[in-house]
This record gives sequence, structure tokens and C-alpha cells, in this order.
Amino acid sequence: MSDTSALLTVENLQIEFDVRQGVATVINNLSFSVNRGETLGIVGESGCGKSVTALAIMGLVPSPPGRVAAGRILLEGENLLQADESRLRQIRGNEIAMIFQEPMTSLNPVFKIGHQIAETIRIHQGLGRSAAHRRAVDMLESVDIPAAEKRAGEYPYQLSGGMRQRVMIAMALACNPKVLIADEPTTALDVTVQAQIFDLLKDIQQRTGTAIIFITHDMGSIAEMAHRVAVMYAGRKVEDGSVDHLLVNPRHPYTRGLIACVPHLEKNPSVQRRPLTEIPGVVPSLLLRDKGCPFEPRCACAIQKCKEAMPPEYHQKAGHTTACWLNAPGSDIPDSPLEVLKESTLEANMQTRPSAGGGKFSEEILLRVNNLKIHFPRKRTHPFARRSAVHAVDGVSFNIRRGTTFGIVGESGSGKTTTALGIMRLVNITSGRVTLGNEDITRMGGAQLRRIRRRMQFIFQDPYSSLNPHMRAGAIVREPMDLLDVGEKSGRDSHVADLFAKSGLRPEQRAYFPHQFSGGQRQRIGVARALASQPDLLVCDEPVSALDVAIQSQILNLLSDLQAEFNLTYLFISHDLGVVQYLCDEIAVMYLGRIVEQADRISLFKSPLHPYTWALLSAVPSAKPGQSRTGKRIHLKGDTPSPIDPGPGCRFAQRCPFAEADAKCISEMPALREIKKGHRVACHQVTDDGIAPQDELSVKLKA
Amino acid sequence: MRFLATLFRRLMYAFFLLVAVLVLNFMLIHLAPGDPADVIAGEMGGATEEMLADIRAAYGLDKPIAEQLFVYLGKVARGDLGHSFYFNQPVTDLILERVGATILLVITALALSVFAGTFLGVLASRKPNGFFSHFVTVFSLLGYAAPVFWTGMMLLILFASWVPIFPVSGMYNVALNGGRLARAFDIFHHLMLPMLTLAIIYLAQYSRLSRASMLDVLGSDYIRTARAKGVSERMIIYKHALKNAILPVVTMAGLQMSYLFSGAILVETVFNWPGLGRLAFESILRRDYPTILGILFFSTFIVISANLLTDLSYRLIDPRIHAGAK
Amino acid sequence: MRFSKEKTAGRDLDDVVPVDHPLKEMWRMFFKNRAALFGLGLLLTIILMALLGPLLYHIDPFEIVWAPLAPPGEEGYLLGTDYLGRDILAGIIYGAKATLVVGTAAALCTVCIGVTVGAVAGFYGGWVDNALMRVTEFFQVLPPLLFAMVLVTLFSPKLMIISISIGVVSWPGVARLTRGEFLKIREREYVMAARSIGSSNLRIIWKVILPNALPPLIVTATLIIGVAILFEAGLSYLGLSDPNIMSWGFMIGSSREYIFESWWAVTFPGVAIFLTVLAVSLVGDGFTDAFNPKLRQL
Repeated sequence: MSDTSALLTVENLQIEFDVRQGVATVINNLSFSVNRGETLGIVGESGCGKSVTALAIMGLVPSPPGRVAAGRILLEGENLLQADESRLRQIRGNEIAMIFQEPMTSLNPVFKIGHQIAETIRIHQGLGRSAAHRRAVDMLESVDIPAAEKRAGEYPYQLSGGMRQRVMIAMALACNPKVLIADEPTTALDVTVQAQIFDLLKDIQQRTGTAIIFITHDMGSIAEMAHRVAVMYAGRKVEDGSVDHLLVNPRHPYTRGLIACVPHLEKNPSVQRRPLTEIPGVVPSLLLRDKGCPFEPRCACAIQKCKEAMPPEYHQKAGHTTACWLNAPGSDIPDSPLEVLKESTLEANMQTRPSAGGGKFSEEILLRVNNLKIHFPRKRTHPFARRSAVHAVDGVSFNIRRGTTFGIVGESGSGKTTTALGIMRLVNITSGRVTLGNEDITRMGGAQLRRIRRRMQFIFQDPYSSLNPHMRAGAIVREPMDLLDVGEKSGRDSHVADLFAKSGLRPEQRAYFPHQFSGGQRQRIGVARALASQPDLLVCDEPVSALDVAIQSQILNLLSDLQAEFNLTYLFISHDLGVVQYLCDEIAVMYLGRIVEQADRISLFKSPLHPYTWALLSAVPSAKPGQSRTGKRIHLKGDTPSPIDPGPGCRFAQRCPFAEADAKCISEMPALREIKKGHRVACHQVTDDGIAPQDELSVKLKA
Repeated sequence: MRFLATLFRRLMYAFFLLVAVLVLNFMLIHLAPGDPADVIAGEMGGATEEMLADIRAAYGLDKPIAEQLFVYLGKVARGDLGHSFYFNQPVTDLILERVGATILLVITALALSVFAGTFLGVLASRKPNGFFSHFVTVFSLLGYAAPVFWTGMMLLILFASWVPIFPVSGMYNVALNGGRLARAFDIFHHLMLPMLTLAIIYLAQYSRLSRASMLDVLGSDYIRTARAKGVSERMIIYKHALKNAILPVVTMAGLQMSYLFSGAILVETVFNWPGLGRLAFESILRRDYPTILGILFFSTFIVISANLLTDLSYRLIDPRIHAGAK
Repeated sequence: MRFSKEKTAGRDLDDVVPVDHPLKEMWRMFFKNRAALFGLGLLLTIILMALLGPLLYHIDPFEIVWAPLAPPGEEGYLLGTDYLGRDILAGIIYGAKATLVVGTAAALCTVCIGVTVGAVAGFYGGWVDNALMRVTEFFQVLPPLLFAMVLVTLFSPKLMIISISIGVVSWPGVARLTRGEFLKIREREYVMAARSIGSSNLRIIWKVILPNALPPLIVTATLIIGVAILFEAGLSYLGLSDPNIMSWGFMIGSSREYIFESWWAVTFPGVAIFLTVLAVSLVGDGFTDAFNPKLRQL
């Protein structure tokens, strides 16, 4: 079975963890291999064993409680599971290197970064102090860190997240490893920074021929980065094959679900919007070892056989393998579960809702935000220092019509969450005006504010921290009714039960405590709590970004259904362009505290005017393989600058590829002006008839 | 530059703290039941009317209270902490005579407990469920629960009476005629038991703290990074982990200076160590308030200086502090 | 089967039976901890001794009952007599009261001041926090024992004065801890959620933040009792105890000059203090383990 040509081969790996309730089989009979110069993507939800696999290859599975129960891991024929600790140390960082998900905590805070890179070199190549330092600086240059010599003398806290991840990459590559393992390397980063890191990794692979094992939960990243992909579920590999083949013809129902449940960004979004495919439930506990397929309880196409026995691995065309009974040759059921899926999609299509441009909305404006400014004064470093402030939100205006969804999209530091908190009156507003219906709520207080809170409610980002762990779920949902005095006292309990049912929870679950629910269920409780006071406006701050991809679609569909049922108005905050495109009727793009572009969903994605919007859209990896790899992408240099006392010019000028030519961008803040009906942009470079600088660029490129 | 600004700010702050202690002293004299002049003279001083009148004049006790405060502060600014009627000596002289002995005791005990405690904690953290680790846990529990003066007495009974290898009390042998080295050794010989007594409780606490801190750090992401780089286990423990794990220990050492000083009072009493603590005990017995308040001021001064030092050394270890980042 | 809602809803919860308050679960953890139970048993024994001892053992601890410096066992005096001929065992039985009363009262005082200051500072932040933390630091640089000695001497050594003095000198640690917890919990989204449904500040402090900050506070409160007992022992060793009430520290202090002639007169009261503090610490450690979610998951 062992493939002599492969660089790294994992064979029948089994890893077990001792937990209080017994033994959990975290990795079960896992096999894969990776060749020189190749990128293998490993994809799956959290808890599917991706990271443990990576740690096992490094020989770093924490033991106890973990242990490798069976299998072989071969690096050029040498079984790493039998190597002793000193041999493993020679391999780690030298032949196999790893970068981690959290760049903020993965570097040692008390050592200079140059020293941390040089350490790897000194350990493995025996170089002297100064030679290692020179090599470390070279490495920093090779990962495109400007002023590398100076940076080498800095500490991790002085670097941004993107920079730290570059340092991690420089450290990992310092000894030219044969294999590089990247465990969700960009999950904690903004999408434009993610694009930079992806390009860097691809560039390095081309230069050095390093094999990369790329771990992610995002099919888009797989399509962009990987040559081959292995899909993992509950510690097993359920499907693998080349990216070009597998993403176009996914065979396993889980893979299909993973692809279909994520709202992918489209260049030409359709007017009609249909519910997302859901993968119901959650990844099962690895303690329960049923004899059947672990995906069976969540599978839409499961048959009796799936309950009874674990499917074997079936070989398809072009090295594509799957582990699903439905893919068995000569099975009664057609070659693929495609037919079954089609049927359910058909039914789903019947429930499409109207959306902007397609259906009709009321023209009544529910929320008006007028020149909203939220500044946070900073603590002075010494008594004679100038007073400075963080301009978190700096002059934001928009209106939301009743019954629609208004999206605010932006990267971290854009001020989108602060805007939402300001509107909810959860942070102090520096200046500007917020009007709900026809009431000015900007300076409201006391009983008045409590009365208005009934009409607007908030859904939080983190379902693990937004529910008080000391209250039962039912009490959490009932609390706003009591505090805001909603409805008759006697009817409240039955109203809670009703809300539970509407939010997709069972009324009996009212007696449970938050820690007894899964992430998706907790978010459902959060939704039910927000609905308890029968509000008009729901402000949703990244309500799905803390959830696993398969769970995201459940919550997005729930929000969609509730909007239709109660004629709710949403203010939807997100960093995920796909989600925003899917859910929102009108969208504002924020950058450093200001709206740079605002339009309805069709025109924004079809013809983005602002260079930032354009860069943002081009940075999102597409789930269609090969598409964005060949397509052009504009690169933003560096990271979002600091919002502390920004200069007079356009906030985006520092990173804008078109700004250099024009001094106006540096000296004068562009106003938001309407180019087409409902399409507003704040950029000096966009002409009045709607020609954006990037359009001119592509004209030039064609010529 | 930034460092100088910080230093300046910390010094100003320390100065205000000291003034606050003086104000507290002043308030205590006036809050106490009875005539402030009586308090200053001390009940046991056998104060005559004449003495009381002198005191009233010197401290301006017939003037408004705010003016009295300034008189008091002015006296302290000139180095005058009052006159001890029991010892019949200026309080400042009395304190300066004794302060050296206390600093010697406290610094050696602190050094021993921090270094040995950290070392034990690090050793224990390497096998968190091993025998040694449990030993450190139990030892720290016992060391914490024993009253320090009792521990001192037990050590005295053991090592000065049953197995007489250490002297019973005092700081040096008055009868000793010898060179400098011999005298230094003599002081060290006398120092051993009091220092050990004082060190034991803190040793227990530091070993427990550094064990917990090491375990915490060893589970962090950057230690995983170091492992993934192929760093040897030794280097991971003594370089990557220890430099981070020592930070809470340094913080604790700074915070505990005042407690260490409290311990010194009890230990000095047990071993008749001629330091500030013993002086405090003697003056409490005689109700000699000028002395005791002088000691309170002076020991606070020492604690504040020590805090300043730990603060600065913390900055040397943790680069993040420089920018006020954390 | 379809992708239906019914399938989505909480299927993984179907077999979860226990629905207990999180604090109850912590109690269960506590009662599984053998060291903590031993500590609890020891503590209860000492409390019983303080309550019932004087009813069963009728010798006045201040009375001179036999020859001075009698070793343990002589004339039926189990633990011997001190330099005046007072019964050591009587002293230990009657001394338990002072130790326990002062220990608990002082700890209560410490926790009340500390939690109030810490909660206000941590919740309101800004200049309130700044001002309160400066005050806390001020109290932190005063050597606590010395400060307490001054207070007790100035205001006469009564049980209440001693307890309050100990509280006044030892609250800063509790305040810092409480402030830290409040600052941490204040940032949690459920606090923001409570605000968004119209909860008042007082409700947020009492009903939302405090219950979640409780575990570390319970642990500290327990450990503070131990500290306060040691403190009381230190003060009475230095002669600053209520002259009408026997206490263990006083016994040791008064026999200070006679340790080589009567080791028992200092050893046994010391053992009593040691065991009491040990018992309290074991209970405190039991709470720590029970409250530590990391340990509970394993």
C-alpha cells in the first residue's frame, strides 16, 4: 500500500484520547500522502481531527491524554512513529515545519522575532550567532516584511497579526523544510491579509518545491490553495481527490453539504434567493462508536445500510476515493446521491423570497443614522501628552427601510461593530443623530430608553459568551419581557415556549443551562431572546462568524424565515462578503470608521466602484477551483492603519493602489456622493458617470 | 527617553505615597482617644506637665489642625521623626541604627525564597502528577499554615537546644575578637535560623506559584511553536517557558515586600535580632508612639523603594510593558 | 428524509439528563475531593471543640493549677503547664474561641471592604477605578502587621477592634482580585446583552457579574480566614490580644522566654494554630479545584 514516490505518507493512523467518560477515537484509520511540490488540503468542521493529524505528524500529540494507537507516518520511508525524541527534534523545524492558526499567541512574547527565527537556524544548521541572525533577516525579507533588519529587533507585540503570521512562515521555512504544515493559517486574519498570505505561500512553494499540508474549514481556501484535497469527518477521511475533480464532482454527501451550505460570493448574484442547504445537527461525540457511518445521523440521503456498517473506500475516476455506501458500484441507488439532493433543492426553490429589485418593499424608513461619530478618548501616556482619540466611527449616515436587511461589511477595525453598538445605545455617541421610527434616540435615557429598547434588539457574535451561564435558557428568554414589561405576566411563559419552537429549539429545553447546548443552539437562544420583546429592528453583529460552516447555514436560514414571518428589519454586520451577499438587500462597505461605498446588493457586487470594495471582492477565494487562481487580483499593501487621530485625507489612501497619482486623496476627505440611483461612493478617483479607476486599469490591460 | 519619563512618574508617585503615609500618621495621633500630646509622649513615658507643654509647643498643638499638619510635615522633611522618651533618643537615630539588620534579614530571606521557590516550582512542573510535584504541593500547604514565630521557635528548640549548631539569639557574638572575615561569618552564623524561618513561608508560596505559572505557560501556543521548531526540552523549560513564567513571581515578590516586613517583626522578636521589627515590638510594649509611627513611615519607605525596583526589573524582563501595551 | 427543522433541533441533547445549576455541580466536585473533605472534617472538629470544650473541661485557662513548667502528663495535666503553672490543655480548648471568632470576623470584614472597593472600581472604571486603585496601593505598601499593631494599640485590644484592624490592613488583595474579575466579566457579551434588554447598573452588578465572579471570591474568602487566623495569632503573640480572653498566640508569646525549659508550652498551641489554618486551606484548595473548569473537563 505504501507509495514509494510520495514524500510523506500517513497509513491507517489511529489516535485515541483518554477522557473522563472513556476513550475517544479522535483519528480513525486515516491514510493519505503528499508529494514534493504539492499542496494537500484537509477540510472539515471543527472536531473532525484535522489539527490532531497535523500534531501527530510533528510527533506533538499531547500525551497523556492522547496516544497513537496504530498506523505509520512515513517521511521518505522513515517511520516517524518509531523515531526517538532526539531524531524527532532533528526533523521538527528542519524537515517538517508547522505554522499555526493563532499568530497572536504563537510567538514567544519576551524574545525578539529575529532571535526566534535565528534559533531555529542555529539548532538545525549549527550556524553562529551573527550568521544565523543574517539568515533570519534574509528570511524576513523573503516573506516580504519591509525594513527587515529593523523588524528583526522588535518584539511580537509590536507587529500586527498579518505580520506575525509572516514571521511564523519565515521561521517555519528557515531551514528549507520538505513539508510545511499550515493549520488554518489565515482564519484569524482579515480577508485582504489572507490573500497576501496565500500568495506568499504559493510563491514560496514555487521557489522551493516544499510540500504543503493545508488545513482549513473553508472550501474557498481549498480551491485557491490546494492541488489535492482530503475531506475529514469525525476522525475519518470521507473523500479525497484532486481539487479540480472533487470540487466539481463531489461524491460524498458531507462534501456536497460543505460546499452547498456556504453562501459563496457570486459576480452576478441572482435576484431570487433560495434557502441555503443545511447540514443538520453537529459533529457527533467521538466516544460513541456506532457500527455505521458516522455521518449517517446528519445525512439527507442515508439508507438502511448506512446505519448497519461502515462504508469501505471506493475508488472513482482519477484517483478520487469516497467512503459512502451510495457510491458503491452496482448499488441499487444511482452512482451518486445527486438525485436525492436535486429533489430536496427543488422543494427548497419553491420557498424563494423576494429581494431587492425583485420584490416590493415598503418605502417607510425605520432607522435613520445621521453623521454618527463615536470617538474613544485614549489614556495619555504622560501628563504633557496631547489628548488623542480613537475615531472608531467617524461620520456615518444611512437609512434602513422597514422589512429589509441592511448589511455593513468591513474588516477588523472598520468600526462596523461600534456603529451597531452606538445605534443600540450600548456605547456613548460622540455626535450625530439616530432616529428610530420618528423618535430621536440619540440622547434618550432612563425609562424612555427602556421603552425604546423594546423596539430594537441585538444578536451577539459569540454564542459562548453572550448567555449568562448562571441562568436557565427559559429565564434568559423571559428576562427581557419582565424588564421591558412586554405583554401580560401570565402569558409570558407560554410566549417563551412559543419562541423556543419558532427558533428551532424544543420547549422542554427551557430548563437547561447554556453550557448544555451546542454553539448553534446557543445562538438560537440568542435569537429567541432578541425576539422576546417583539422588536421591529434586530441588530445582528456577526451572528454566524463564531459558528462552524455547517451551522452557519442553519442560523442564516432561521434569520431569513423569521424576517418573513414577523416582517423584521435587520441591520446585519459581517466581515464575510458571501454571507452579506446572500442575506442583505442593501450593503454599506466600511473602512476605518467611514462608509466608502453603499449600494443595493446587485449593483455592489456587479459593479463595485470604490477601489477598496474591489480589492475586498477580489481577495475572497472562490469555491470554484482554478477561477481565482487565474483571475486577476489587486493587492493591498500592509494592514489597516490605526484609527487614532487619522489625517485629513481619504482613510484608504495609504493602501490604495490608485492614490499615489493624486495629492487630493492625501489632503481632502472624499464625500459620499450618489453616482447611480442608490449607489453611493466616497472616492475622488471615481468619475461622475461611474467610471472607477480599476475599470480604466482593465481597459489598459486589455489593450 | 520613555524609560526616564516612566522613572520620573514612578518617583513622583512614590513621593506622594510617602506624604500620604505621613498624613495617615498624623491622623492616627489625632484619632486616638485622649490628648495628642499624651500620645506623642507615650503613656509609659511618665510624662510630666512640663514635658507635655514642650511637646505642645514643638508640634504647635494649640494651632489649627491644618497648620499642625504642616508643622509635622516640615519636621519630617528636616529628618525629624520626633523624640523617643522611652529610649531618650531621636527616633531617626534609633531607626537608622537598626535598619541595616532588618534589610539584611529581609533581603537574604527574599532572595532565598524566590530563587529556591522558583527552582522547586519549575522542577515540580515538569511532571505535574509526579511524586516531587505532590511533595511541593504538600510542602507549600504546610509552610503556609505554620505561624512564622512558631516555626522560628521550633527551629530554635531543634537547632540551638537539642542539636546546638546555631546561636540562640542576637546578631553577633560580642566577645568575638577576630578579623573582618571572622565577624562576617559570625553574623552569617547568627543570620541562618532567622533567615530560614522567614524564607520558609515564602519559599512555600513561590514554589506553588511558579509551579502553577510554569504549567500555564507550558500549555501556551508559543511553547508548541518552540517544540515544532525542534527546540530541546531543556531549552523549552529554562529559556522559553521560564522567562514568561517568572513574570507573576516578580509581581508577587513586589507585592509581598510589605508582608515580608511584617514577618520580620515576628522573626526578629523570636531571635532577638536587633532590627526595626524588634524595635517596633519594644516600642509597642512601652506605648512609645513616636518610635512606632516612625518605624511605620520608614518601613513603608523601604517597601515603596522595593516596589519601585521590582517595577523596573519587570520592565527589563517583559518588553510589552515599555509601550504600555499590556 | 428531508433537511427538516425537527432534525436540527437539539438532537444531541436528547440523552442529557442532569439539569443542575453550575454551582451545584461544583459542590459535587468538592465532595469528591478527599483532601478537602479531610480539611472540612478537621475544621468541624475544631469548631466543636470551641463550642463544647468549655462545657466538658472545667479548668480556667488563666488559673494557676499546678507547679510551673510541668511536662505533659504530670498530675493528669495532659499537655503540661506553663511557666506560671497554668494548664496548657485548658488554654488550647478555651483559646479556640478567640481564634475562630477573630478569624471569621476579620475575614468577613476583609471581604466586605475588598469586594465593595473592587466591584465599584472594576465596574465603573475610569477615574473611579483610578482613584480607588490609588487608595488600594496605599494600603498595600503599609506593612500590615505593623499597621495593625498601631491600630490595636491606639484603640485598645478588644476582639472587635482586632478583627476590624485585621480587615483594614488586609483588604487590598481582595479588592484587586475582585476588580480583576469584574473587569474580565464586564467585557463578556452577556453583560452587554443584559444592558441591551434594559437592566440597570445595580442589577448588572448583583445579578449578572457577581454570580459569575463568585467562584474565585469564595476561594479567596476561605483562604482569607486562614490568613486572618495567622494574623490574630501574630498580634496576640506580640501581646496585643484581649487580656480577658485566652488565645493560642498569647500562650506562645507569654512562654517566649521559656522555650528551652518547656518546649510543650509553645509547641502545642502552635500545633493548634497550624492545624486550624491547614484545615481552612484544604477546604479552600478544594473549592479551587471544584471551580476550575479545566480540571472538571478531564
